[in-house]
Amino acid sequence: MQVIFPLLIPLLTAILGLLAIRSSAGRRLFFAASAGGQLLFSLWLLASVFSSGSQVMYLGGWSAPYGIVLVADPIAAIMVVLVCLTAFSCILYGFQETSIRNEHPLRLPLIQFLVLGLNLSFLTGDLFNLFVAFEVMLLASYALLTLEADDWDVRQAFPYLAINLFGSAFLIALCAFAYGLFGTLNFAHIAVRAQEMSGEPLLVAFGMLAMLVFGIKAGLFPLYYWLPNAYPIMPIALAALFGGMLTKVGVYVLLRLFGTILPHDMDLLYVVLAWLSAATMFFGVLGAASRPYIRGILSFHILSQVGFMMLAITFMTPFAFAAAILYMAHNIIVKSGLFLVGGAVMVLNRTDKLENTGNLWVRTPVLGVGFLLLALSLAGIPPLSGFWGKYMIIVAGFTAGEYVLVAIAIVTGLLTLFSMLKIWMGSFWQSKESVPVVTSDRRWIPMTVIVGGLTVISLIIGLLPEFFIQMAMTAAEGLLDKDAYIRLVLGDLP
Amino acid sequence: MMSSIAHLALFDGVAELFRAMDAASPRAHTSVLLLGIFGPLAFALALAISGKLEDRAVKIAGFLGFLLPALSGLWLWIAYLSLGVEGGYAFLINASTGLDFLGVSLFLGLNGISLPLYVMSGIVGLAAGIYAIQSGVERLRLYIILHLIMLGGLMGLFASIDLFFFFFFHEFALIPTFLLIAIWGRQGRRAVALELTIYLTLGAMLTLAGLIALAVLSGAGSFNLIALRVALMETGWQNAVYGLLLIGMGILVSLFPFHSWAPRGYATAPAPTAMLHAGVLKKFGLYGLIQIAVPLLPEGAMAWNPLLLWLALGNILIIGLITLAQRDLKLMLGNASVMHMGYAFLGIFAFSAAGIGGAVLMMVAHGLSVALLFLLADSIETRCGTTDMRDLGGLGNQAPVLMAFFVAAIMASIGLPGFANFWGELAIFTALWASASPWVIAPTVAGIVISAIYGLRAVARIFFGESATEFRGGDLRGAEKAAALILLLSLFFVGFWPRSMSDSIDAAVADSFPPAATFAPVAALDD
Repeated sequence: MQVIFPLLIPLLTAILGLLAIRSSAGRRLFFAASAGGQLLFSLWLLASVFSSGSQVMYLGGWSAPYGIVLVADPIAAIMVVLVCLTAFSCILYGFQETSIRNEHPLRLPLIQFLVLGLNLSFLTGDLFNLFVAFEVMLLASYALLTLEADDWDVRQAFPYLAINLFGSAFLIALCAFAYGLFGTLNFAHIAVRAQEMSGEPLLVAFGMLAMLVFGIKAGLFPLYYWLPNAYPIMPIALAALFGGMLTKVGVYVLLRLFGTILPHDMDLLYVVLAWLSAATMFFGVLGAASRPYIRGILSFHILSQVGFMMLAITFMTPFAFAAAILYMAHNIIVKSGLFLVGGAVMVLNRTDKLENTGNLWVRTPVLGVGFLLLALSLAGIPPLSGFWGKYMIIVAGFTAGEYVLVAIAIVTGLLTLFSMLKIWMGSFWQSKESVPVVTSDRRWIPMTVIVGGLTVISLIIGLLPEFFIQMAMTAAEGLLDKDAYIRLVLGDLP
Repeated sequence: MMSSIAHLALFDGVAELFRAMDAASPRAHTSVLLLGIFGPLAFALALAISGKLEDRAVKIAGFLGFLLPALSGLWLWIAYLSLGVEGGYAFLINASTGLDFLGVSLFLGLNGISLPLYVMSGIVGLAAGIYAIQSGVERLRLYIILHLIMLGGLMGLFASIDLFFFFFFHEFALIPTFLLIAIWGRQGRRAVALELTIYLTLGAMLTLAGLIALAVLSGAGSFNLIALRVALMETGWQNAVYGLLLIGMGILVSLFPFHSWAPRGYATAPAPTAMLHAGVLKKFGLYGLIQIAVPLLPEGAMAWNPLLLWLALGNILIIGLITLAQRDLKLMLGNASVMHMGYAFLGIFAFSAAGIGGAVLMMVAHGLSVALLFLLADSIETRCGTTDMRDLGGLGNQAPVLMAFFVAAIMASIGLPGFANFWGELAIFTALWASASPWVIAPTVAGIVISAIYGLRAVARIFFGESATEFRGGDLRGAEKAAALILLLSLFFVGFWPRSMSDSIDAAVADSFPPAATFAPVAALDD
C-alpha cells in the first residue's frame, strides 16, 4: 500500500494547487509541506523495503502480467527518496529565488507533475507505464522549461523538445517492438520470455533500440547536445531539479533493463555502451572545461558523470552495479547542490559568467566552504561522497580487465577537478573591485542554508560509506536477481 | 642480528621497562600509535568546534596536538628497539571499518621501514607546529587546525598496513596543503595552489589506480600489504602496474620530469606547510615504492629500472644545474629538495638492501634537513622582507645563531659526516658501486659538488658581505630556536648513531626484498 503514496501525494498536491491558482504565501506553505511530507513518506517506504522486503501493488486488483503493477524494490525506493529530497530542496530554494509576485502560478503544480512522472518511472513494473511516466515527466518539463522563458530561451529549449519528442516516438516504438517480440510489456514477464530467447538477434536489436531511447534520456554520447543548452535557461531551482534527476531516469532504466529484464549475456550491447559511456564522460567534461559560466559548466558535467554511471553498468557485476547506484545517489545530491550554489552566486554577483563574478570567498566564506566540499566531492577527492562511487567503479573496471576505460575515467576525474576549480577561482577567489557582492540581497542566506543541508548529506555519505555502500549492494543484488524479481511480481507464474 | 640498543648498557633499564609494559598489556604500545595519529586530529576537531577561545588557549591546544605525534614516535622507536622486533611489524591493530567486503580495513602497525619515517614525521611535525604557532599569522586557529589535520594524515600514512588507508591518509594530508598554500601562501599563491592541486591529484589518481590494480590483479582481493606479500603477479602485469605506481608516485615525489610543481609550490607555501610537505608528505611516493611496489613487483621494478636511472640522473644533474641558477633562496631550496630525491631514486635503482636501506635513511635525513632549511629561510624572509639572495647579505653579524643553524643545515644537506644525510648517501653510493652500473657514481658525485656550490654560495651571499635590505627583528627568537634545535639535534643523533635506525631498516628491507638481490647490510657501514 505504501507504494502508491509517492504517486498519489504529488498528484493530489498538483490538482489542489491548480484549484487555488493564485500564488500566495499560504499556497507555498502547502506545497512545501506536501514536498516535506513526500520526503518523509519516501523514507518510510525505503525503511520498510529494506526491513521487510520489496513491495508490489497490483492496481485495481488485476494481477500481473495483465494489470498495472507497481514495484518498490530497493533501487526504486532509493530513487524515490532521491526524487523527493531533490524536489523538496529545490522547491524551498525556488521560494527564495523567485518572489511570490514573480512566481508563475503553474510552476509549483508542474513540479508536482514532474515528481509524479519521476516516481512513476521508478516504481512502474511495465514498459507501457514507463512510457506514460516519461510523458507525464516530459510534458511537465516542457512547460517548466518555457514557463518563464523569453524568446531567446524558447529557441534554446527547442532542441530539448525536439529530441525528447523524437525519443518518445522511439519509446512507443520500443513498446510495440516489445509486445511483438515478447507478447507482453510487463518487466518480469519480458524477463521470463527474454531468457528463453537468449542469443537471438532480435533480442539484441531490442536491446540496441532500448539503449538508444534511454541513452537519449540519459544524455549519452552523441545524443547529448540538447542538454547543456537547455538546462541553463531555467531558473536555478528548476535547473537543479532537472540537472539532478532527469538524466538519472535514463540511467535507472538501463540498470533495470540490463540487470533485471534482459539476459546477462548481451556482450555486444555492453561493449557498445561502455565505449559510448567513455566518450560521454570524456567529451562531457571537455565541454564543461570550456564553458565560461557556472550553469554551463555544471550542465556539461551532468553528461560526464552520467558516463561514469553507465560505464559501471556495463561491467555487469553486483559490485559494479552498486558502484553505479552509489555514484548516482551521490551525484544527484551534489549536482543539485552545486546548481544551487550557482544560484546564490547569481544573487550575490548578479551573474554567473565567470569573468564577471568574484570576491565571494572573502564576503561569503560559508558559501565558499559549501561549494568547495561539493566540488571536491564531485571530483572524487577522498573522503567525500564522490570518492567512494568512483573508487568502486575503478575497482570494477580493473576487475573486468577494462584498463583503457579506467584510464579514461581517471583522466575525466582530473578534468572534473580542473573545471570545478575554474568556478572556484572565478567566483570565489577572484578579487575584482568592479564586481559587486550584493550581500544586502538577503536571499543568499537561506539559499546557503539549503546548500548547506545538501552538503551535510553528501558529507554523511562520504564519512559513513559502509552504510551507504551496503545499501547500494543490496539494491544492486536485487537488480541483478532476475528470478527473485520475477517471483516477486508474477508469483509462481511460469 | 641483535638490536643495536642491546649494545648500550644505558638503555638496558629502559628497554626492560618497555618490555615489561608490553608483557603487562600487549595493547599498551598500540595505543601510543593510535594517539600519534588521532591525537592531532582530535585536537584539530576540538579547536574547530570550540567557540570563542583566547589566543593563548589556541596555541596551547595546538602545541599539545603537535607534541603527541613526536612523543608517540619517540616512544615507539624505543619500544621497537626494546622488543627486538628485528624489522618486522609491531604494534598491530586491525579495526573493521565495515568495508571488509571491499578488502579494506583500518590495519595499522609499524615495521623497520615505516618506523623511522613515522618518527621523522613526528619530529618534523613538532618543529613545524612550534614554528606555525609562533608565526602570528592571521586566522591562526584555522592555520593550526589545518596543519594538525595534515600531521594526523602523515602519521596515519606511515602507520597504514592497509594500502587503501595508506592512500586515504595521504589525501587527508594533501587537501589541507592546498588550502594552506591558497590562503597563507606568498605572492602568486592562487595559481600555485591550482597547479599543485591538479598536478598532485593526477599523481594521486595514478597511484590509486596502481594500488587498486595491485589488489585486483594479484588475485589477493585485499589491500592488506602483509596478505599481498604472498600474492604473486605475472611479469606482464608487474611491469604495467609498477609503471603506473612509478609515474603516479614519481609525480608526488617530484621525479624528473614530473617535478615542475615542486619548487614553486614550496617557495610559495607558508613555511610550516613547506616543512611538512617537502619534509614528510613528499616521501609518500618513495615510501610507497620501497614498502609496496618494489617488494611486491620486483620484476616490474627491474624492467623499469633503466628508465628510472635516467630520470633520477635528471633529478640530480638537470635540476642540480637549475638549482645553481636560482637567486631566490626559497626557490633554491625547493629545487634542491627535488634534486636530492634523485639520490633516493638511485637507491631504488641499485636494487639491493644497501641501496634501498640507504634510500630510507636518506628520506629520514632529507626530511629533517629540508624542514630545517625551510624554517630558516622563512626566518630570513620575516627579518629581511625578501629571500632574493642578491638583496641579502651580512646577516652573520646581525643574526649569528641563525647563521649557525643555517650553515649546519646546509652541511647536513650536502651530506657531511656527522649528519644523518651522510649515512643515507654513503649507503646509496656503496650500493651503486656494487650495482650493474658503477659508472653512475661519477655523475652522482658531481651532484654532491653542485650541492656544495649552491649551498656554500647561499651561505656566503646571505651571511657575509654587505646587506642591501633593512634587517628587522634580531636573531632567532626562543620558539624559532626550539623548533630549529629539535631538527638539528635529530640530524646529529641519527648522524652519530645511525644504527638506531639502520638496523631495523636493514632487517625490514632484507625481509621484504627479493632474495635474488645482492645483499650488503647498511649496518656494516658504521661498524
